[in-house]
Amino acid sequence: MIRVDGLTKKFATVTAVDHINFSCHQGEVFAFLGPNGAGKTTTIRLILAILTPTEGRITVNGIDVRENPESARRQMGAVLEENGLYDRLTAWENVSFFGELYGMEKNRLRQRIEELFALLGIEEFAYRRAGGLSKGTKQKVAVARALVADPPVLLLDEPTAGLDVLTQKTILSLIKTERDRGKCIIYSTHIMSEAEQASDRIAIIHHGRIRALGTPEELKQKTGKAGLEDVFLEVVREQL
Amino acid sequence: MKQKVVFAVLHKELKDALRDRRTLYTTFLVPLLLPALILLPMRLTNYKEKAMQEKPSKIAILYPERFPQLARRLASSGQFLIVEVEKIEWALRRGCINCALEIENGPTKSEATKVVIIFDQTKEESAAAAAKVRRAVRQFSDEIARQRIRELNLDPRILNPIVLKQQNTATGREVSGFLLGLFAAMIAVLGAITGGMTLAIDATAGEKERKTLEVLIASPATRNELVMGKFLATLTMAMLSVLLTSLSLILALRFGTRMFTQLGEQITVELFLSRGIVVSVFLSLLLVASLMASIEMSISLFARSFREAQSYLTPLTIAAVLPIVFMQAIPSNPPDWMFFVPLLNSMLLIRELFMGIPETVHIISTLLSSLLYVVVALRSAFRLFQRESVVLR
Repeated sequence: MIRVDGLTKKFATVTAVDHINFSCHQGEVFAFLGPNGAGKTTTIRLILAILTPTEGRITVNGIDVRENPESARRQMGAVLEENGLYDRLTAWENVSFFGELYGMEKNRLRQRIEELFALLGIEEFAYRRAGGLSKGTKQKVAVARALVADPPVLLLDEPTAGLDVLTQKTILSLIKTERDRGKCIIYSTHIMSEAEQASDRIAIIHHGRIRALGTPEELKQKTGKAGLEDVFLEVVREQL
Repeated sequence: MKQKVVFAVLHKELKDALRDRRTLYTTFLVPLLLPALILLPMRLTNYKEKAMQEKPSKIAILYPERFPQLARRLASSGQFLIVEVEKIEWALRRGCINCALEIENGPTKSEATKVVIIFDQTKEESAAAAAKVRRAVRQFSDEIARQRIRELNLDPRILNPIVLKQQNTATGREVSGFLLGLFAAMIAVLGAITGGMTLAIDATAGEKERKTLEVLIASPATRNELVMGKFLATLTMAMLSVLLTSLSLILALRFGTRMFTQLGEQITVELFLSRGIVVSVFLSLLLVASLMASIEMSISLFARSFREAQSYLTPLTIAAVLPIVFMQAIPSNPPDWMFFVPLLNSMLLIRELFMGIPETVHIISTLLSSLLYVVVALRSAFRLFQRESVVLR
C-alpha cells in the first residue's frame, strides 16, 4: 500500500528525515515511535505531499506521491497533530466539507457522516460549532473527517495526544477496526504502551533515521529487553 | 481544475466568513455607513454655513463717531448686532463678539477712510462675520462712490467699464457626473479594496494561525482549486461590499441632494444610469476587486497570523488610496496613459461614464489592462500556494 524508499528531507542545514525506507501493507498498523523532533511528523507530511522530499520516492497504492500528489491523497485520510477544525463550522459541516473535497456524492456523504458520528458517539454534537467542543470531541470529529471518504490508507499523527482515557480507547479501538477492514494505517506516537498495544510493526525513529524496525516481539528479541520502553531506550542509547 | 471542488471551497469560505463578526463589520456595516458618514458632515457644513449667513453676527465698532453714517448703516442692516466691549482681543477669544471694525479716520473728499476688520481666522463664525462686514462696507463704499459721481454730473456706469458674465459649456449631466463620478468612484473602489480584505486574510494567514491550512492542503483538492475557491469567496465579499456601498450612496444622495456646490450655485445631483454605464462600471469594479483579492491573498499568505497579515496589508491599503487622493487633481480629460494605471484607470473610467462622455479607447484600455493585472496577480497567488516555505511558514 505505502512504499517509502530513501526518503530524505532537508530544511536548510537541518536534515529532518534521513534516507528512510519502509513499507506498510493492507490490513497493517505501522507505528512510528520516537521522541519529539525525531522526524515522525515530517515523514507523515511527506507522505501526504504537504512537503516535497529532497530525495527518495513514496508510492501509495502504486501512485507516485511526487508525480501525482492529488491522486495519491485521494487514497489517504489524515489526522494531523492539530485537529485543524474550522471553529465557526459545525462538526457536521467540517466533515461534510472534506467529503466534498473527495468528490463524494451528497446522499452517500450524508449517510457516511451519520455512520461515523454514530460509531464515534458524537451524534449529539453534529450541529454544534467545532469551536465550542471539548478537545476529545474535536479529535473524534477530526477522525471522522479522515475517514469520511473511506480511504484505503490512514495517517494519524499522535491521534491520542492529550486526550482522556475514554477517548483514547475509542480511537485505538477504531484503529483496530479499520485495520481489520483492510486499511493500511500509519500512525505516530511517543507513548510506548500504546504503540505496543495497537501496532503490528513499529519503526523507532530518532534524529530523522529509522533505528529499528519490526514487530514488538522482534524488537524485544533483537535487543533482549522485556518491555518496549527498554527497547526504545536501548536503541536510542546505541545511537548517541 | 474541478468546478465542484472549487465551489465547495467557495461555499465553505463564505459560510465561515458570514459567521465572523470582523467580516460582517468590514463587508456589510462599513460600506452601508460609509457614504452616509461622508455625506452627512458635508450636509451639516452646508447647514452651518447657511445658518451663519442668516444669523446676525456680533460685532464691535471702534470709534463710530469718526464715521457715524457707516456705523448706522451696519447697525440698521439687520446682519449685525452691535456690541460694546473694552478689550477687543479678549472679547474675540471669549466669543463675546465675532469680529470688530476699527474706523481709523473720518470721511474726507481727498483721503479715503481707512477701516480695519479685526477677526480670528481660526474661528468659523469670526471668519464668516468678517466676510459679511467686508461685503457690507464694500457695498456702502460703492454707494458713496456712485453718489459722488452723480454729484459731478457723470454716469455712475463709468465705474464698471467691463461687465463680466460667464457661460459654462459643461452640461448639467457633465457637471453632476464629474462630481458624482469622483465621489462614487472613490467610495466604490474603496469598497472593492476593503470589502474582501478580512476574508482574504482569514482564508490564508488566519487558516495558518488556526492550523487548518495544513489539513486543507492534505486533502485531495489541488492547490489551484483551493486558491480559486478562496479567491472567488474574497471577490464575492468585495463585490457585495461594492453593491452595498452603491445602494447606500444612492440612498444617501436621494435624502441628501443639493450637496455639491460649484461657482456658488447649488447643483442638483442626478443619476444617469443607462444599462451600458451600469455594465461598464460593474466590470471595472469587478476587475478592481479581483486584482485586490489576488494581491491581498498573496500578501496575507506570507504572514503567520491574522494580525501579521493586517500589518503587511496596511502599506497596500495606503498605496491603493493614493489614486483616490490624486484623482481629485486630475481634470475631466486625463491623458490616455492614465487609463493603464491600476485602480486609477477604473476610477477615471467610472467618472467618465457618470459624466456621459466615455471614450471607447479608455474603456478598452482600462478593462484590458486591468484584466492583464488580474491574470498576473492571480498567477502569482497560484505560484505562492505551491511553495511550502510560504504555505507552511
